[in-house]
Amino acid sequence: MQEKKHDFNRGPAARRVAFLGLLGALALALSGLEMLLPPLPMLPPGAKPGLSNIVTMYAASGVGLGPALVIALLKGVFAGVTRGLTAFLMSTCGGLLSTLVMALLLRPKKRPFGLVGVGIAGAVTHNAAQLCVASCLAGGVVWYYLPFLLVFAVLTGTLTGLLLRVTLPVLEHLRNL
Amino acid sequence: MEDGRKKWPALLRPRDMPLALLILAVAAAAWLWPHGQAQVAVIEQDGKLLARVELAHITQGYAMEIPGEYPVTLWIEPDGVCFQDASCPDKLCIRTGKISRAGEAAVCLPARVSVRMEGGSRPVDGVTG
Repeated sequence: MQEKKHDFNRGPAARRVAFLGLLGALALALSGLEMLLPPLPMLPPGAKPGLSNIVTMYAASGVGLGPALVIALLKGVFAGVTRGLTAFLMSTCGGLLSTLVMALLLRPKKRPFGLVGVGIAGAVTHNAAQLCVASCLAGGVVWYYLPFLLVFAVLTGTLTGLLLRVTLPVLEHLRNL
Repeated sequence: MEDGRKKWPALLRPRDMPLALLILAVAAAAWLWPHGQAQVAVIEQDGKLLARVELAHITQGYAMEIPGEYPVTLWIEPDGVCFQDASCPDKLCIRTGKISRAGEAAVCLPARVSVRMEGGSRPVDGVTG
C-alpha cells in the first residue's frame, strides 16, 4: 500500500493505463468545453484560457514526462480533428513545448517557482511556440500579437496554477487509489 | 495528500511575482514600440506579395477577393482593412476586425493570407517588437 503511493510508474499496469486514460479524457473534455466559450472581448482572436493545460501540468509531474507528452499530443490531434491542420500544428507545438518546460520546472528538489509561476511559464511557452508556428505559416506579421498574448498568458497561467491547486487533492487521490 | 505536499511546490513561491512582472514588462515594451499612422496596406498570400494599397489614394471602400484553397474577401477602406468574408473553418480572421494602425496585422492562417499595415518609412522588421 505504501509502496504503491510512492511509485506510480511501478504500480500495476492496469491502474496506470486507467489513470492515464482518465487524464487524457479530462484534457479533451476541457478542450471541448473551451470551444463552447464565446469569443473573449479585448483579446486576440483564437486566444483561449487553456483549461486543459491543468491536465498537462499535472501530468508533467504527477505521471512523468513521457505520458504527459502523449496527452499533449492527444490534445493536438483533437484540435486537428475538430478545427483542421493549422489548429493541429499550433496546438501540438504549443502543448509539447509547454509540457516540457513545466516538467523541467516541477522536477523534485529543483523548483524555482510555485504552481502559479509554473502555470505562467507554461502558458507563455505555449503562446510563444504557437506564435512561432503562426509566423512560419503566415509570416512575421503575427508577432504583432506578442504583447497581448504575453499579458493573456500571465492571466491564464495564474488561473491554471490556482485551479491545479484546487484539483490537486482529487487528482492525487485518484492516482493513488 | 501527505506525500502530495512534498511532491508539489506551494501555490506561490517568492520568484513567481518577479516572473509575472518580467513578462508583463516585456509585453509593455513590445506594445509601446513606436507605431505610426498606417499609410500602406500590404497584402500577402503564402508569403508572396499580392498587393500594396496606398490608403491615401483611395476615397471609398472596396472589396478585394483572394482566391485559393480557402477564398477570402478583404474590405479595404481609407482608414483600415478587415477580412469581410472567409471560407476558412474558424473565421478568426474576420473576428480580428478592422486594422488601422501601422504595425497592426490581420491574418487568416488556413488561407495563408495576411494583411499588415505599414507606416511608410518604417522598416518591416520593426513589427517584431
